[in-house]
Amino acid sequence: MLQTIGGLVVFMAQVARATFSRPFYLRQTLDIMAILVQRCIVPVGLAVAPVGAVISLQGIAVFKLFGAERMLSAFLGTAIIREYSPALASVMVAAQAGSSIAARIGTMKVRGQIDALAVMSVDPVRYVVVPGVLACVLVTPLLSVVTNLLGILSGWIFAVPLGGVDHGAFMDNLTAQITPMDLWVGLGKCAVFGLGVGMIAGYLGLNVGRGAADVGKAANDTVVSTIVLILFTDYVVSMALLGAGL
Amino acid sequence: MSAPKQRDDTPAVVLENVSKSFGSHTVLDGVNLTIPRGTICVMLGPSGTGKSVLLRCLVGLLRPDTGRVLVFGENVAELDEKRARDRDRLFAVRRRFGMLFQDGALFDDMSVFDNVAFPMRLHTKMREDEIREKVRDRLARVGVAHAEDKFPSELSGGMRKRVAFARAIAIDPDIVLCDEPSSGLDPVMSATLDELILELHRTLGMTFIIISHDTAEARMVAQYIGMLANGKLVTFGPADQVFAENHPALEQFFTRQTVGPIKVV
Amino acid sequence: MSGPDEGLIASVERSLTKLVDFVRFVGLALRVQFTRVPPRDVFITQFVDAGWGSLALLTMLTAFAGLNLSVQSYASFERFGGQDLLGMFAGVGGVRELYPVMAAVVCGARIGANLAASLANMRISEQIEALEVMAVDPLDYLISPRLWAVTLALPLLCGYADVVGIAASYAGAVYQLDLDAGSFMTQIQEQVGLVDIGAGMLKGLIMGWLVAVIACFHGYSVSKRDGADGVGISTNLAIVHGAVTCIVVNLFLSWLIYG
Repeated sequence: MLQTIGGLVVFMAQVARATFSRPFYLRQTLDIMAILVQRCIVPVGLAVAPVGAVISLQGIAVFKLFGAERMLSAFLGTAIIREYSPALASVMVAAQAGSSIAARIGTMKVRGQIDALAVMSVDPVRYVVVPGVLACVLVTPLLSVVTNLLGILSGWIFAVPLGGVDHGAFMDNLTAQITPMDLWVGLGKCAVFGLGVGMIAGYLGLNVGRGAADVGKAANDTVVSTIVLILFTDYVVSMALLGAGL
Repeated sequence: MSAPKQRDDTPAVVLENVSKSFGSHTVLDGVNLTIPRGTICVMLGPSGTGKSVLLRCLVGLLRPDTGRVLVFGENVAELDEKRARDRDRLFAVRRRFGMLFQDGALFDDMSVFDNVAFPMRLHTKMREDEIREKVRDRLARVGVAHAEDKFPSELSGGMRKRVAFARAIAIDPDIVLCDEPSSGLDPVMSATLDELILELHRTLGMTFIIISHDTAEARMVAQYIGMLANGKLVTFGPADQVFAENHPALEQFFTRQTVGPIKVV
Repeated sequence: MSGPDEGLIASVERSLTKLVDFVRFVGLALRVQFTRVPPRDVFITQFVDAGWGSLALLTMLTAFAGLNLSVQSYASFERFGGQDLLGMFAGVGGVRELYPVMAAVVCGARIGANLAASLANMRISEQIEALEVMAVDPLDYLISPRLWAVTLALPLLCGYADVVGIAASYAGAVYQLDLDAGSFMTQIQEQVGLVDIGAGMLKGLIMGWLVAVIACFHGYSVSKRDGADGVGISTNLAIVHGAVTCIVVNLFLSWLIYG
């Protein structure tokens, strides 16, 4: 356990140094970003959209008890933008992209391609890991913009046409209550979670065991450990923000 | 348990005009052969010439496009696994086979003992103490008696094959199929495995059908030899006859020539 | 896995073929599940692995999720002075939605990935063919017990997640946010009925079966030629398709039950 943490810290330092020094492998990064957007947009959208709907579905009943249906949209908006969209988008990025990044790096390692890179004096961390980490950090917030809209839209469907909340009240409340700060908090969380996904995927990929089964395990562990990381960070961040009154 | 052996003269396997294609690629092209009971038959041929497909047609894992595959007189080729009645007949035929897979195909989540006991537990009414005795006998025959509590991932390649062999002969099959028994083994280990085949053949008297591209193995164990090249069975017969006749494809194979009837793709 | 250069029509066609294969697999799966008794040992191993094996992960995650539910909803409710609704919201939202979905998505990811990886590995190392040669139907021996194990384990995991989650959101509300313990519990007792817990477990049952059948399909349909890459791809597909399916199906179930 201590060894893993130590290894992870050293690894993070390596990644940080490689990220901010030459040579940059911009081409690799852009390629991975394109693939990530392409492959993640559908699963991420499908995962976040129903959440807005469910919040409306259950929220209406709760708010109605207090005659406060008009407050629903504010709750929906903040919940989606600050909490569910970042958390779920990142979980799906971990499931779809993180696991395949880990599997790809793991396969390269198992087949000796990582050693081959090192022999050709190409730093594997710089060439293979950093582009993946950068892509995750940049793509996750981007995806969450889309999922914010989708989540609120599906929430609107279940609140206004299906739930009988007044459209004007819904929109007024939404625009009045959601602050730019909410958006920044959401995007910031996405970037942090994305960083976690990329780092864990890279670390587990490079430290894979010896065979095909180990590659699958690395991919699987990436997903499970990022979900744990995301929920834990989420809690810490929420507490900190609450303490700071944001 | 093997079925009562009436009609002892029925050949173990008869193929009549068997063809199989995958898309436009013909893998077996009108193959005819008869393998008598109780013999060791080695099918030689370069990689990718349908040896494996031939083996899989025998146990109904694949169905040929045309032709008949008779196993002790039962036409396996007409049995469709998806139809309930055929399925029972197919499974009855399969119970007469044991198969040694290329990399062993041992079940990862079972110990060596449980791997060998598996067919006994499923297909016989043996009590657990009878099973234990028989598993130990099988493991002793293949020379891995000391490894019964190990798991497949803890074994070397040669040991995995021996255990797989023990599993293949677990319930006294009438026919043992071996898919490239010497692949991935060093020459000494493959020779040991060949001796094991001869030994098992002598003591248990089963029919062995071995596919291989190892010429040394063919010389060592074969009573019957067949040679597949480009989808066709170019020669087949008792080993001494086939060696005497020395078909050009066989000669090319044994003398490692790059030029000859076998086309390198 | 769709490469970036693949044409749209080809990719749609491939997805459709895959869908047809899936529907066919579901048919086969249902038939073996309900016509033959699954082998008991395999069922027990799989059940223990799916259920007991997920407990540690699920405990940790629901504890954080329960805490989060309190802390995050507090931030939202505070804006319009609705802090007192917290106990009720944490109870209703958690038991009806969050905990069942989380159990299904997270345990599903873990279980599904394991199922797909192990079946795919059995396929490429010829273990499935070995079963067939030994006259054992792999659907009977491998698939049916796995489906039953996961289908029966997930509702129990959902019920367990309810307990951990409510305890965690109580801890969050009372110890961290200094809300009134009595009123929090009263709200939960008044608003969360056995019906809700039962409905959550029913969701778990349905989502558990779906996760299992999706994972088995992806693992089982790997071909020997795909080799080690096939194992990775099927694992990935099992996780992603399982998670998305759970979230989408959850919405429809909620709509049916509470809409």
